[in-house]
Amino acid sequence: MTVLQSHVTPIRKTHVRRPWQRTVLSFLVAFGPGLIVMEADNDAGAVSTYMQAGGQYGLHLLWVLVLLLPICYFVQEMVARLGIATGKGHAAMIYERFGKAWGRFSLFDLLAVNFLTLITEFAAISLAMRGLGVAPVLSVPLAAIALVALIASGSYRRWERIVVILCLLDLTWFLAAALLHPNWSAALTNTFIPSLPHTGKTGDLIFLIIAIVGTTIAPWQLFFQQSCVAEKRLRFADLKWARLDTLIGAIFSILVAGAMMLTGAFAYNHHIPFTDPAQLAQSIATILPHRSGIFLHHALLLLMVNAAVLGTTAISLASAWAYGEVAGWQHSLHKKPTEAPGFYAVYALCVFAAAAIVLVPHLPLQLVIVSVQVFAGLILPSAIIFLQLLLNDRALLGDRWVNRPWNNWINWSIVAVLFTLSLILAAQVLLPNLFN
Amino acid sequence: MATLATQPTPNDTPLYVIHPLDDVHEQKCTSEGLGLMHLTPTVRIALTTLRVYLIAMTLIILYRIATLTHLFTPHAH
Repeated sequence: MTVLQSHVTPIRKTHVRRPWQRTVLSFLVAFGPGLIVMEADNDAGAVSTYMQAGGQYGLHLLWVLVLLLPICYFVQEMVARLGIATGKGHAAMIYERFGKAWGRFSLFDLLAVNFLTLITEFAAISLAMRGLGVAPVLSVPLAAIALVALIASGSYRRWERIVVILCLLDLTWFLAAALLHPNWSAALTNTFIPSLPHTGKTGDLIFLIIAIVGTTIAPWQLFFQQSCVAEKRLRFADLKWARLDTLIGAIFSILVAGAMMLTGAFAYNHHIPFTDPAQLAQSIATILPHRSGIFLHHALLLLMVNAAVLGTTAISLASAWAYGEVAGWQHSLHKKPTEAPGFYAVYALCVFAAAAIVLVPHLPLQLVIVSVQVFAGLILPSAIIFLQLLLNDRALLGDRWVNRPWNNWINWSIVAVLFTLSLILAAQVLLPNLFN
Repeated sequence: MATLATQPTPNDTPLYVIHPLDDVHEQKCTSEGLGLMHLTPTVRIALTTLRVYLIAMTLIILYRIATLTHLFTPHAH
């Protein structure tokens, strides 16, 4: 391991008067990647999964989210640590430390599952905007153009600020859930005391729990956050702030997921059947008083679009960064499109191709969604194994950055749980009646 | 090391914060000259098994998807 010290004068300093101001500002300048990766994971597929969970089982599965909070944090903390220590993305590290074969294999898996996920994001945009009266033939291409324009300015800071604002818009989920007057006491009980629905253990329930796990921790998150941390050039001293950023992001993301489940539980309490969140928004508008009904209808559809936009930009960037790292291209949001054409081309290709596929008539969307969940569930444990091996690479990281024994115990336990779920999911897909 | 912020100092010393993107580049841990990671035979076997598992599962899932989309069903004339 080589860690040298640089003594070049920094370009720009922000002066503050009090030590506490310095502490707050030090956190704020490092803040971003953790929140973005966690909140972008509450994408269109997540909205659908959490609302289905609420719609089918009421508040009974809220405890699953609490269990997922530490898993999310510990996995993403490792990624942030590796990104800060090496200044490189996850794909680059796999390529450098495990060789070309594993590098390409991981990259192919990532690109495939990311692309399938992008199709579901655009499908959600199409569905939500149709609910707002905009035809898919207009909304989908416009969304794709806006998503490419979002990154094309050649400024990481601008992209990050816009995306953090989009993440904070998800606070509206709490307002939406509150307007539906959920049973707060039951919500609190179900959050901290695990319980099963009255239906007992069924194939559908197991599938839904696995879908919740699969949608809360996705493979692209590992690649995204490490590249994002490297892109932001977080320094060794920023690690504690990156950890706090990741923790805040994980808590915020789980709370928003809970609000989505509470919203879905409205359908459970009022016996409203629905197949997608847009349909539920429509039903809510007809049941609630006019003003709040219209507000919630529009809010839920726009939140769906926001979720899809966040998911699309993060997932496409994860693909573009990973491809650029492995191909050896310039791959940075600090570069203009003319300076990093390959990187921007991969991003644009992911976005436009997924948008184009959604416009194909009679697309078997349900099949795409199931495929995404299965592939993601399949790849995630192996992706975490590489992460775990990299975080134990003492030759690369030295004693300062490698995992402590307790880190390894926690992470191998997570890998074991995810592998078990991955196998159950695969079995469930191959033998649909296995648990019935 | 690039400076994140000033260390605790007496009141008369100016305090400042530097954005990571405005700071000088830090020398990171590098794999240059290290080659590939040394893997024990157990880890190597485990990774190879993992690769076979992933390829097999991907093929099975692709087959399942193809079946669901009736790709192998002959067209009725």
